[in-house]
Amino acid sequence: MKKIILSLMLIFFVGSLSSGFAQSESYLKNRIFVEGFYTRNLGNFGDVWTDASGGYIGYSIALPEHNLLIMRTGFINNDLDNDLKLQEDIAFSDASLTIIPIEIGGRYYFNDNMLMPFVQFMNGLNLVFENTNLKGEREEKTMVKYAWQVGFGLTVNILSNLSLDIGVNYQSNFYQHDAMNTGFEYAFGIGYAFGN
Amino acid sequence: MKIIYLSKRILLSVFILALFFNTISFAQNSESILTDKDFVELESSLYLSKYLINEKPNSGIQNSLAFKRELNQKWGAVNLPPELMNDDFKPWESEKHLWVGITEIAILEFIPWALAKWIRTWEDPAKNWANVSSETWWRNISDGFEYDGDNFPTNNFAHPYHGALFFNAGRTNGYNFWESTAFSLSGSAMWEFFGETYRPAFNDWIYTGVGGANLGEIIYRLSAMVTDNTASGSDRVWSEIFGSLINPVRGFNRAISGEMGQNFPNPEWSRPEDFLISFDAGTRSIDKDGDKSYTDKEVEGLFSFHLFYGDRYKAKKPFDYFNFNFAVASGLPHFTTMNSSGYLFGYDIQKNRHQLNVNLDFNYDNLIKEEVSETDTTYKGFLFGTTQIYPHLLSRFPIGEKTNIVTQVGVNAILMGATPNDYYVDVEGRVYDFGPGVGTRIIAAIQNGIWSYVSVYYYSAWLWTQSQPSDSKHHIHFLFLEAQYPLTSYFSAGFSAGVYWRNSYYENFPDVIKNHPLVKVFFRTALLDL
Repeated sequence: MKKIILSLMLIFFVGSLSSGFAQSESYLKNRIFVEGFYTRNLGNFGDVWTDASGGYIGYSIALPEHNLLIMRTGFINNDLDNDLKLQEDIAFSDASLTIIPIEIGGRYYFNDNMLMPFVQFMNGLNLVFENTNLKGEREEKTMVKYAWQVGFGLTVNILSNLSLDIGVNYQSNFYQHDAMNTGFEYAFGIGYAFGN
Repeated sequence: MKIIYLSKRILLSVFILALFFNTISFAQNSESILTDKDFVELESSLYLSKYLINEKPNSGIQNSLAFKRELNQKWGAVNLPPELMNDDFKPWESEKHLWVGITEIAILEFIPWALAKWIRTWEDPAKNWANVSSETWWRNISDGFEYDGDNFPTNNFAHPYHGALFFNAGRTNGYNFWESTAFSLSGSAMWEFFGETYRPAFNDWIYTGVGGANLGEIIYRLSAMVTDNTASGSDRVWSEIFGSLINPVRGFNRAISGEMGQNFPNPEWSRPEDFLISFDAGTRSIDKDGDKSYTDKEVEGLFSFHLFYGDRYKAKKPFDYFNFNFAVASGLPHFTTMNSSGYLFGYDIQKNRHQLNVNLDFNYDNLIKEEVSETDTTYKGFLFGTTQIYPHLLSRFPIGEKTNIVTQVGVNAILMGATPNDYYVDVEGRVYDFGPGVGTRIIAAIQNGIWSYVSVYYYSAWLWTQSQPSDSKHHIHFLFLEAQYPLTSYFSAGFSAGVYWRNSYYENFPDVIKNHPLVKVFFRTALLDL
């Protein structure tokens, strides 16, 4: 994990220094985007739900001074710890925890070039669908919890209208008092701008 | 967290030292710029202005504390003539100074941390929350947010004040309101995750980050209003002292940038078109038990301060209009009220008539001191605090030449609210709980000039508290009727009557309904009407 963060930081740093890709028009445009991600969960939450994966779809609106307003939703599936899965009493065998995030936030880009490093903050609500199977009794629960994440990344503008995003985010979403949904998310996405 | 007060003292000391050194530069600056001829012109302009103010003996204005400046003079015009302005001087805030802002946040974090770490004496050193390490940092990152156990004034006043300083590390370094909110949010997050051994507190983050933006923009604008870049000599010294007392971070930046010693034009926005300060003195009777028997009343003196900044119908940028109320009581708790509401953005439906506005509000109401005994778990007391967004429809209906009915109908979108919790007693002394909420607000008033003859105020909120007992819900209502009669152009007498009531619903405990009637009689004077 440290290697991944270091690699991303290096890309972020190199991107922030790059100014050799001068262009006449701005790369900051309204875009539709899709993202896929993997999350390494932490703390008490991570002891039970070790990893998560999923995707986002959203729309971003370019604002003045290198700012971007982002709205997105998606689907997150959390993976149960293998040791719990393999327990003989199969108490948790078909437990699941899925989340639908509905979020709004923003990005600040440090420049407007082909390589555009950014910092990002997102927040909103998680619709949490919990399905646990304790001692043979199935229990389903739906919750609405506050979610937020902060991170950094890099947008690579392959074409004027097409971009790739990579990023790493820290999240500390609400779940239970002693088991907050914390973790590091590694994301990869594609953005497309309609028109000019 | 409690040592925020100590950090304030240190900041003030540093700032006073900075002021002392800058006082010298005021004198030098004035001497180097002014010639003998200029002194004659300056003196005549000062005397002329003073003479003009006293020139209207029968206007009803001269003896009034509430006066309108109708002298066609701009703020600061009593001081340096325009030809002596240093037009080449580049104001500090005309450019962004990211690293200065980051350094100031680091200083604002370091001072309270260092005091706790090395100065404060701990009975049990193991409880020193400043003993942070990479281990505590990783633990905080892994465990994430919780709700802390601090008392109401610490969480609802001290933290927003600390956030206001973080906010101004951005605002007074060239950043706009929205960008500066990122400073208060990130400054608070850094403190919560890395400044203490405790788990980061979500309530602190909201109160410091968002409440700090509210309070921060208010002190930023008030500080800019009282400092006069065109003044010199003792006028300038006092304007800088008051401005820096209101906003220490701005004072610090003005000191290090040399602005304190320069004469240059005041920014246009810093002089609001409308500005009103009024002061109430009166008495308040409030039922303490809230059990509808009305037998345990507290009668106390109440002194309130009201400030209105800007014209709400002309506001374009965040906090172009805001109001701020502050009250102290003779009974406990003395510090009883601090509320503010500031314009964020809006849309004109019909110019000067109907507007759809969104405000950022801050509420601190600590009306009745809590009583909690070890044998009786029933909570006595009343407090309410929020940081909230307030989208609303603002309307004005003229019913006379200068008389209007003004209404507001809107939604209380509460990011973080605090309310009594009858079954929650935290080991650290917190006797209330936190949570997000939603509700409605309706206000109607008959207004003429600076006076509201009659006004009705209703506020409601559903709060879903988060700590314990779990799944608690609270429905809170405030309903007030207030009337006042102007005895002179600047003095009025009035009364208000109302009720605070709370229905608290608990999953595993009996529900609680509290009802606190309140009556207030007061005299109000307009201290300053610009």
